[in-house]
Amino acid sequence: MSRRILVIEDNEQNLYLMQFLLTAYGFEVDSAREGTAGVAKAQAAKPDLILLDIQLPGMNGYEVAATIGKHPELLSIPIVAVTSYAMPGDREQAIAAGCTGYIEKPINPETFIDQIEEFLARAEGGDCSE
Amino acid sequence: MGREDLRHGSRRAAEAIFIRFRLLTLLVVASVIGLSYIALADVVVRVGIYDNPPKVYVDGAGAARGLFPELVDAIGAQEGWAIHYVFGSWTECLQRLEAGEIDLMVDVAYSAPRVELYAFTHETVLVNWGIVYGRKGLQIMSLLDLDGLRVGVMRGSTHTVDPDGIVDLAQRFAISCTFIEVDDYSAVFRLLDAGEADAGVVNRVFGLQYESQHTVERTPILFNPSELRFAMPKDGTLTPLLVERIDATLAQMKADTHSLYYQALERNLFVSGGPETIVRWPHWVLPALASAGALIGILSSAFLVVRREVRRRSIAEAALRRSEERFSLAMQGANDGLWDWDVISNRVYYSPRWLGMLGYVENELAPTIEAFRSLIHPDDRARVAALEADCLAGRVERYETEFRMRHKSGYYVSILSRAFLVRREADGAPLRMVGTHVDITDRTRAAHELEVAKERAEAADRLKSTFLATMSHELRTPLNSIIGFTGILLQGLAGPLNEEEKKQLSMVRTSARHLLDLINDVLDISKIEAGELQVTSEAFDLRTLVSEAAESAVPAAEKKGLTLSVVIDPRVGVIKSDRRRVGQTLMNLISNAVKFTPSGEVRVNCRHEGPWAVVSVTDTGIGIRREDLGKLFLPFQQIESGLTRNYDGTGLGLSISKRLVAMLGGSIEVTSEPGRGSTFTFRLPLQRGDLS
Repeated sequence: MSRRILVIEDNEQNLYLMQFLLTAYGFEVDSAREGTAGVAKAQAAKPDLILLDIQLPGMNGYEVAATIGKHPELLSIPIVAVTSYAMPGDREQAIAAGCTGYIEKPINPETFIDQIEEFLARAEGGDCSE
Repeated sequence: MGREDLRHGSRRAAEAIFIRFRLLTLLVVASVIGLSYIALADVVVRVGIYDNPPKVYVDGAGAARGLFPELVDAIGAQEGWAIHYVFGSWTECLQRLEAGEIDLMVDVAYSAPRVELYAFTHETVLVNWGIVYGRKGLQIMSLLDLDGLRVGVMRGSTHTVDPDGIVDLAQRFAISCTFIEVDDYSAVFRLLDAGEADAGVVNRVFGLQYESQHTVERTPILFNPSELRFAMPKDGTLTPLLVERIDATLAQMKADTHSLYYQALERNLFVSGGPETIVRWPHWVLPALASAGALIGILSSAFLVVRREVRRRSIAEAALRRSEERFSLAMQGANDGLWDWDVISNRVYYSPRWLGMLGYVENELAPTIEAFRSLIHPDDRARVAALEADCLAGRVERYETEFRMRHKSGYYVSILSRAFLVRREADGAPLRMVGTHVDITDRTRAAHELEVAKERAEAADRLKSTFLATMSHELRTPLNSIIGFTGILLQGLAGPLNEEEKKQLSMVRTSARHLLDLINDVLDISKIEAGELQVTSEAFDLRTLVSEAAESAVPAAEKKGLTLSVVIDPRVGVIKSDRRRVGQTLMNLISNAVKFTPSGEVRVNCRHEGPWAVVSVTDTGIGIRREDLGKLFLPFQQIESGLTRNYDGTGLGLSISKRLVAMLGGSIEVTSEPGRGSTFTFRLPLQRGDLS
C-alpha cells in the first residue's frame, strides 16, 4: 500500500517540487496552499505524514501544527516542519507547536526522500521522542 | 508704679572713700596709657531700669532689684562708679538710651537691628526665650493654633517686634491674630486673667517665675532665643569704658562658679515661690552662707539645675531650629512654590511663586485645600488624594509625586510635588501639611520626547528584525526551487539527459549553491550585527559532527588531490552546544583549508583539553602573512585581494565563525607561516550554559 503525504505549502514552485519528488518515489501526495485548508485535508485524507511550511498566509505553520494536535484522530501523524531558519528560534518553536521534526530549506533533492523515509520509520516505530 | 529717678540708697561713706581712691588710681593709670576717658572728673553711670522681674524691678522701698541691678551694683562697686538708676517703661528706657540720657541699659536682647542703634557688651548675661501662654483650658499646642486669637504682647519687646518675634512669625506662617500691646509682661498675664486676651507672649524667665500666680497655662511654643546683654548709647562718652569693664568682669564671674554672678542667678531665677521670697531675702544672707561653706552644696545643685536647663533649652532650640530650617529651605528654593495647609482650620497659604506657576496672583484663589485639589488633572486626582490620605493617616511621613495642574489659561502644567506632615507633639494629631511645587513641564516634555525617540528606535529595530527575517525567507524561496529542480533534472527523474545538459545543469546547481552560501552568510553577519542571532544549547555527538563536516569536504579535496585526514581522540563524545553553529564553523574551517591549499594535506584533529573541546585544522597551504593575521577575522576581508578571483567565498566565513564561537563561549586562534601552511584551532566549552 502506497503511503500518503500531505504537503502544506503556499509557494507554487516549492509545492510542485516536493510533489514531483514524492510522486517520483511512489508516494501519494495531497496538498494545501494555506493553513485552514491544510487542517481540513488532514482530517479528510488521514495522511501518513504531513510536510508543513511555517510561513503560510493566514494561519501560520505553528498554528496549523497546534490545531492538528487538538484532533485525537490526527495525533499520531508525524508533522515535519519545512523551515528556512527565517527567525531565531523557528525550529524550537516548531517542535513546541507539536512538529516531530524539521527539514531545512532549500530542500536537497538528493537527500529529501531519505529524510522522509526516516521520519516515517520513526513514526511507525512509535518512537516520536528520539 | 513710680517713675521718678532713683538714687541707690544703700551707699556708705566707706564705699565713697573707696570710690575716690579707685578713681585716683584710674586717673594715674589712664594718664600713663593715654586713654580717652581720663578727662572724666567723676564716673557716674546712669542705668536704665524697668519692671521685668526677676531680671530687673523696683521693690516696695523703691530700690532697684533683680539679677541685672545686682550685677550692676557689684561691678560698680568694684570699678568705683556711682550708679544712678533711672526707672521707666521699656520703651521710655530705649528712647533714653538712644538719646544718650542714660549711659547703660540693662536686659537688652542682642539683635541685628539693635546693633544698628546701640552698643552692646560682648558678654551675655542670660539667654532667654519668648514663650506663649494661653488662657487656662485653651490648650494651644502650636503656633498655628494662634490663628484668629487675641494675643497680648509687650510693646517694643524683642519677642514682639524683632525678626523671629511673634509678629514676624505669625506673618510668615500666615497666621492672623489680633495683637494687644501692653507695657510689661505682668500686664500681659493680667490680660489673660481678665479674659481680654486668649494668649500672651512673655519671656520664659518671667513666665516660669509668675505663671503660678495667674490663670494661664504654658504652651510648648518657644521661640526667638535672645541673648540678654547690657546696651549703651552708640557714641556715649562712657560706652568704651563700660564695655571694657563689664565684659572683663562678667567673663571673670562666669568662669568662677562661686562668683556673685552665679549667686545672683540662683537668687533671682531658680528660687521657687515667687518674687516675694527674693525680696524678703536680705542682701547679706547669701554671701554669709557662702563664707560659711553651706552654700557650696546649694551652688553645685544650682549648677546642675543650670546645666539641665541649658540642655533642655538646647533640645527645644534644636527642634525649633529644625522646623524653622525646613520652612526657610522650602522658601529659599527660587523655583519652588510653597503651600502650607492648616489641617484644622482648612486654611491654605499659597506662596506667590506657587500661585504664579498656575498663572494666579494673590487672593485670586480661595485659601482652601479644595481649591488646590480642583486644579489637579482629573486623571491624577485620585492618586494624589490617596497619597495625601496616607500622609494624614500616618502611613507615610512625607511623599513626593508628579501630577498635572490646570493653569489659569486652561492648559496643564506638570508639577513635582513634595509634602510632609507636621504633627502635634502631644498626641500626634495632624496639624499642618507643608509642601513645595516645582514646575517640571519642560522636564516632562523632554522626557516625553525621549520616550518617543526611544519608541521610534525600537520600531526601527523591530523593522530591521522583520526585514532580516523577510529577506531570509524571500531570498531562499526561489533558490529552493532552482536548487530543487536542478537536482531533480540531474537525477534523471524527469527523463534522461545528455552530457552537455548534465554539465550545464551542474553549473546552474553550483552557482545556485554558491548564491545560497552568500545569502546565508550575509544574513548571518547581519543578524549577528543586529544582535538578532540566537544560539541554542543541546547535547550532540561532536565526534559525528566532525566526521560529517570532514566528509562534506572530501569531494573538493579529492578533486585537488589533497589528503584529508581526521584524528578524533577516543574520549571525544557528547558535548552541549549549538549543533548547527558548531557544524557551520567546522565546515567553514575545513573548506577554507581545502580551498587555500594547492597541494599537500589537510589534517583535522579533535580532542578534549580540560573543560574544552578543541578542534584544529592544519593545512600545507599558502599561509597568511603576519601583517594580515589581524584583519583575517574582519568581515568582507579576503587576504591578498589579487588572488580573490582564485578563491570562491564571501569573505565572511571566518568573521562569522569567530563571532559564533565567541557566542558559544569559545575562541578561535590561528598560527601561520606564509608558503608553509596554517593551523586554525577553536575551542568550545564542553558544557555551554543555557545563555543565548
